[in-house]
Amino acid sequence: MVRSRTLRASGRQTDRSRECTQAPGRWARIKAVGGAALLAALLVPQVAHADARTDARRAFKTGMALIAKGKYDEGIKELEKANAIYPHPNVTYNIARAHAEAGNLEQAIAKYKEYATTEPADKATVLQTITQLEARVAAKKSFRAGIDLIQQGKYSDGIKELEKANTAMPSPNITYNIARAHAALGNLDQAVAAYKEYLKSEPPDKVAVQAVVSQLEEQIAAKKALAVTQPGDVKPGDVKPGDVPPGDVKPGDVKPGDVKPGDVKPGDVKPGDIKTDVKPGELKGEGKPGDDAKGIVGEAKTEDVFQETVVTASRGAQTPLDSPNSTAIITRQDIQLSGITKIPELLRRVAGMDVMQITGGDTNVGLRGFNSRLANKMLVLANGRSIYNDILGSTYWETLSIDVDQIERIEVVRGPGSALYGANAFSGVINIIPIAPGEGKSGVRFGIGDQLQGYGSAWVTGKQGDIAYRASAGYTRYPRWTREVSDTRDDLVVQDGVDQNLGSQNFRLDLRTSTKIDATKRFNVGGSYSRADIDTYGIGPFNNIALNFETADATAAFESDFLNVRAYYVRLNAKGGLNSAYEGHTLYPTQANQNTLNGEIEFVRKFNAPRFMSHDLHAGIGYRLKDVSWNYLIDNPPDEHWGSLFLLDTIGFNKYVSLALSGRLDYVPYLQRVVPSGRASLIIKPTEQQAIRLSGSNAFRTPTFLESYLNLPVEVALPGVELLSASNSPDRPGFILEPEQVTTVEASYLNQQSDVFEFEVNAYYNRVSNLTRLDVPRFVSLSGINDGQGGVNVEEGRYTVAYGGWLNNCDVYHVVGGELGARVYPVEGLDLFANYAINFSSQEKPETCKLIQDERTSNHKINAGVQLRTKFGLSGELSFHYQTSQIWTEQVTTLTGIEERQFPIGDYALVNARVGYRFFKDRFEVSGTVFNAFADVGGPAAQHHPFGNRVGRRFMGFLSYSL
Amino acid sequence: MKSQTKLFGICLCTLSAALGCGDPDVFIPLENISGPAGVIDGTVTYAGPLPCTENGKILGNAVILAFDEKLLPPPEGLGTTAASLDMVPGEVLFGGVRDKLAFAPDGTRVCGDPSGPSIAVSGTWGVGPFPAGTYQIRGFYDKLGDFSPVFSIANLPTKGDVGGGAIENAADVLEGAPVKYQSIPLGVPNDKGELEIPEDGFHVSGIAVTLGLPLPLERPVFHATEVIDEFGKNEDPKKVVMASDYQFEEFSTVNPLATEKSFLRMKFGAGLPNDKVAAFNKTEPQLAAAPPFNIPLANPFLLYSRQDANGDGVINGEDHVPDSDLLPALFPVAVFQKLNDGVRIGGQTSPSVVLQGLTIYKSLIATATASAALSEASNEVIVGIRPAVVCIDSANPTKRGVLLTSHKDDKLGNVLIADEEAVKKSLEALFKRPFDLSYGCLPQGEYSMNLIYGTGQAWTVPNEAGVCAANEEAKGTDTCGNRARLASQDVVLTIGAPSDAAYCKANPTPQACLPTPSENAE
Repeated sequence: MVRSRTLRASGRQTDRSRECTQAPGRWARIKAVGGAALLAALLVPQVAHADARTDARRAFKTGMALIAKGKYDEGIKELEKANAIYPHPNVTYNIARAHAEAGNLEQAIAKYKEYATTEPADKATVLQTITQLEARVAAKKSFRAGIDLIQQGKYSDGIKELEKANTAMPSPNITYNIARAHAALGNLDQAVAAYKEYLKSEPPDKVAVQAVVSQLEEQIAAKKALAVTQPGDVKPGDVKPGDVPPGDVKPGDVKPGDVKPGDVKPGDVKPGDIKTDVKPGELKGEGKPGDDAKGIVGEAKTEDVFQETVVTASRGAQTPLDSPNSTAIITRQDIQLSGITKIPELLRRVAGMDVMQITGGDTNVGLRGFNSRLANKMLVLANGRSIYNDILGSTYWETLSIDVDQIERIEVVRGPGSALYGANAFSGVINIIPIAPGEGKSGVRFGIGDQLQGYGSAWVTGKQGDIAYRASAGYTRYPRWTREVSDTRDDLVVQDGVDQNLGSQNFRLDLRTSTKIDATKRFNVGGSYSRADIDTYGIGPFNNIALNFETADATAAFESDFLNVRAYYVRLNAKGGLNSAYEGHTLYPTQANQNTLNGEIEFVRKFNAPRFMSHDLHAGIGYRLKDVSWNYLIDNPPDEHWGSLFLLDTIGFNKYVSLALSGRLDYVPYLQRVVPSGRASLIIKPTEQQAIRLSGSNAFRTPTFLESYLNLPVEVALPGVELLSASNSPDRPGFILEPEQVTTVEASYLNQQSDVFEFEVNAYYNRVSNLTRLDVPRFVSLSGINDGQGGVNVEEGRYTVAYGGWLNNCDVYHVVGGELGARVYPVEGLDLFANYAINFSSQEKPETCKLIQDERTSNHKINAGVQLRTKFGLSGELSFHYQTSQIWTEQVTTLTGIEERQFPIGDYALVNARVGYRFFKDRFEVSGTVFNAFADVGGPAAQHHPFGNRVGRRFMGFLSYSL
Repeated sequence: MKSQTKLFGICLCTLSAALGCGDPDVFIPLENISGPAGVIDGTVTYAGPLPCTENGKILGNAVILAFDEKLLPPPEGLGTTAASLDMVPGEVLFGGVRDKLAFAPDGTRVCGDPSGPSIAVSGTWGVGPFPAGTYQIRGFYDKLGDFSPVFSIANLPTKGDVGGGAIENAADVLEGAPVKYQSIPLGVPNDKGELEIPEDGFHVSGIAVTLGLPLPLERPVFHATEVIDEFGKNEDPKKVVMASDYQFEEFSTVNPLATEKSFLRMKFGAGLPNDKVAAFNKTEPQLAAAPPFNIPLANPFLLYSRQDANGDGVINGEDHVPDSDLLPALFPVAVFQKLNDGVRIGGQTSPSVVLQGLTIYKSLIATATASAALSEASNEVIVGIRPAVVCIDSANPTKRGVLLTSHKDDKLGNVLIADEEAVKKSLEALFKRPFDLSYGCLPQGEYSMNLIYGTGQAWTVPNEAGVCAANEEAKGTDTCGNRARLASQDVVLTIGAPSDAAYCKANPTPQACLPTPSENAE
């Protein structure tokens, strides 16, 4: 029976993606608004502190210079400012040292102790310094006590205190004062002996003291003579024990203006000071400030601790200037001030990055081109741990177990990285570096926004003895930007239980610990769990998929100066299927499990050979077990055992020139062969803060499990007909997909010479070949029928009429491009950044190759922004992004098969802003963000992909608290 | 998942009420792929003999085909492919009665007695998505599982298959009445009365399909045996060419003999010729009967019968061809369909260009006098090639169709279409769209040849048996890939260059009959 339906109104918008391209004036308006906003931001009164790291760096440099000039107080103030902005143990050490030199021993000891709690490598030395300083403080107290007693005429007790001080901290002055006290007491022999000891120090008053000694010796001689000739015949007026020698100053004789024991003021005089201006007969006291610390405090730590450090490009800490690849950094400040909570969206500000939000929970990231609905050209690491999804080769960002509040920085290494990280570091490496266990403060942050956005994160960090820990738990919820299925759709079936408004939601737990074994060795253990629901997009005809993920990892690592060992296990479980399908069609229910076990041993050694050539050698072996099951694949796909060998040597010829050479061999089970990759980077540093880099490298991306073992009947638009999409289909037995290849040459220049700006220029050429694509349907022929192909798929109730699967592209891409980026810190509190990326590709193909040229990468991309932080707690960021139009070649299902069509999307701009205010001793902060503020100016919001949601405007407010 | 989401949603909504927590806007990026459409589902009931079994499995599948009424398959229309298709495997359909079926221990085929007791089983099906329109559901049980939607040599039912569909007059059909398929409208009428798919889609459910009519005939397998060209130069039936400005010498009801002579005619023989395929040292029929062809060729014949051309359920004098009230419309219907240049298989042009042949029973005079009960098996069928084509855009039912005739009259000045309005109405009724008549040169190119029975069973030449697929390497003239090539199945009719170019310049082929550029982008 036919049911009649009446027309029901719904909110469905019928505007098409191409409308975006038909609003030429729209982005011009947005750009104008964005530009005005930027200009306005630039004109904001500059009452602020600047970019934290740069401010700290600037204060540090100033402070160290003042201290070197002996201006301790001013220098210490600057260092304390630096440490307040960006705490660093080295700065604490230098403050301690400056206090010591200034004679502020108690403050010095306190700072040294603070420094020692950071478990530095020189802790033993510092503890010795503290002991010495404490001894000096004690000696000083004894000295003062002794002087006080002597002034009170209690010579014996005074001498005892002075001798105590002299034992702890021998000093000619103390010896002198002891001598003087003995003389006063009438112990002439001891007085003479002490004076003579004093004279050994060759004091400036040597002559005067020698005169005193002579007098005393005469008195002793006289006394002896008297005792021999007429014992007891001492007359009044003779020198008796207790008499003050002529010319000596008795305690009661001290006159105003003289230096008296009582003149010694706290902090003025330290035992051990060298006396310089004291006449014989006076009590010795004051010395020069800092004399107390000489020989104890050690060398200042002058290295630029606020220089940005990267670790990804060469598996060790180095400055971007020394990095063999261009490396961009997203700092904790960028993260905090931007207000952005999606990690991939943070990456947008990196020059050359392609960031594409398809749904509210699915963002894909590429670099220098070739982004896709399942972006697979970037290797993503979490603190060096691969979070590569072996099933699809993509990164589901919203399944990660850490959130932006746990991130110290994100490093983006541009260019091929297979030479260090093996397969899949194709166009770059993203390394998310979390805040280390024990670092930072514990805290909590909540956020809510329109369309049921939600964010919650709580974390605790601390140290218990040698064990440091950081634990976090969080929840995020992002709605779909737009939804494809209204609640009233009558022609569709939807996956049971899927919230049609939900882009993604994520519950997560993460715990990392680090145990110090000794100064250079640590043992790290950690694990995580996350559960996420995601609205995502597949490839080919697979759109709008709702998946539930569960991921977990367990990680252990040993780190030392010479050996690093890391092992981790990752489990990923995903289930779901298409979000919706027409009645009578399949939702492709899916269940996938991935277990990977990784092990890596890395040996590190620094040496010179020959003598003028330094080497920083990293050599290692790696292993990765991949165990995957998925109902879209063949039954029981084989476990894959991957093995790798890698070697990196950074050769320093002198301070101007170095050469980083690295190579890696990866055994790829699917290919059953070893794939080599390499990189060479010549780094020339005309000055310490400039670098010119010339590099060449190659990388590869191996077929994922999806590409290696696919075996999925794909329903075409006719529900009774399917094509079997298979990696190894009956019509193509033994087919092997070759890895994608990229070869890059790159030149770059980085200038960090100035304290107020830095900039980088990169130019590159990529040759990209063997790109993997879904093949067009290969229809079953009568010859195929003869070979048993085609027929009926009884399980699915469909006729298998064709085969699909993967294919390496027959074309080669030549890509030229570059990035230009600058960051300016004109004054304290203001940080400006801007970058521009250009990318052009050309297609080379044989005559038989019919592929349409890919134009999915914007030719031009621009980022600009301004960050502000004020002393009174106001902070914020305004950022602007613009990218030019694209044309995507994608596959769609048709009545009888799958075909490729081209889909244009227009250029678009994003303007994001955040304002925050800190209060209550900076422990609380309230903030508000707007993403894509001008989303619908001049027309409907833009799509980032022709199949994706319209990415609109979102508001969100946050409240955070830190202990 | 949903409950958790809702719980958090409620909490968040409470907090974010000020910011707004309504549903996101609905936006469908690919309107023609996931946008609102019509869908139909229902049940299929098989009522017939027990199915065959082989190798422990139930043979056959129920095939459900949905046709747009504007593009019905011949003989009712010119549709060449179903709008949608679903299939219910025999293993599923008969799964509940499996224990009642016989399975040979050695795996050989066991088929129920066609005259034995019937069995009734049911399954479900669903088809779509469809644009707005009116649809019919047809179907059959593919008894031996030899149906394939890919190959024209296997994409229609054969003898023994059990036909049916969503039928309005099932009871009458059992008593011999012609089948009336249920019209299923998808969409709601707009102000103009045209159907439109509403924004929420349109879902018709509960359509009952009954399969209970065993098909008595094999498909009309044929090959070209002869060309009769009284005034031209055609001699080879495998290379027949008709000029695009072909003009009848005489076309007159008063002179049927001259009229018949004026037709360029072809004879189509039943089955395949006994030509030897040297590479395989077998004849075409020997090869065709075996895999991968499995062409039903036992005692081949072609059956002449009268058409119920006006669909009134009665065969009488009103069931005539459009050209003449005196000529009854006969089965098999002969249709020549223009192919895309260089593509002989699956190369239907856009728009569809169809030349309908005139089925001649022995002669025009014999045809004119054929009885209503005509049902005669023959070794061959004579087809007159009309110098006229129908051009319709099958992808766009709203576009007007065109009947293009090479000349308005014969060389003697006799008008070919005496009542243009009547012809237009006839075409409009057949193709469910308005029609224009036009006179000019026919679209040049290759045309496939088709014979169609009233059951919808048909045969097309060229077909896969004679043409190598793109992924089948042609080795000599006898081999495609790993199988034989049957040359008799690679024959086309060619509409060639005009005999008078000036005429074509003055009367060019109308745009509606010329290929439209493909639209690649969304």
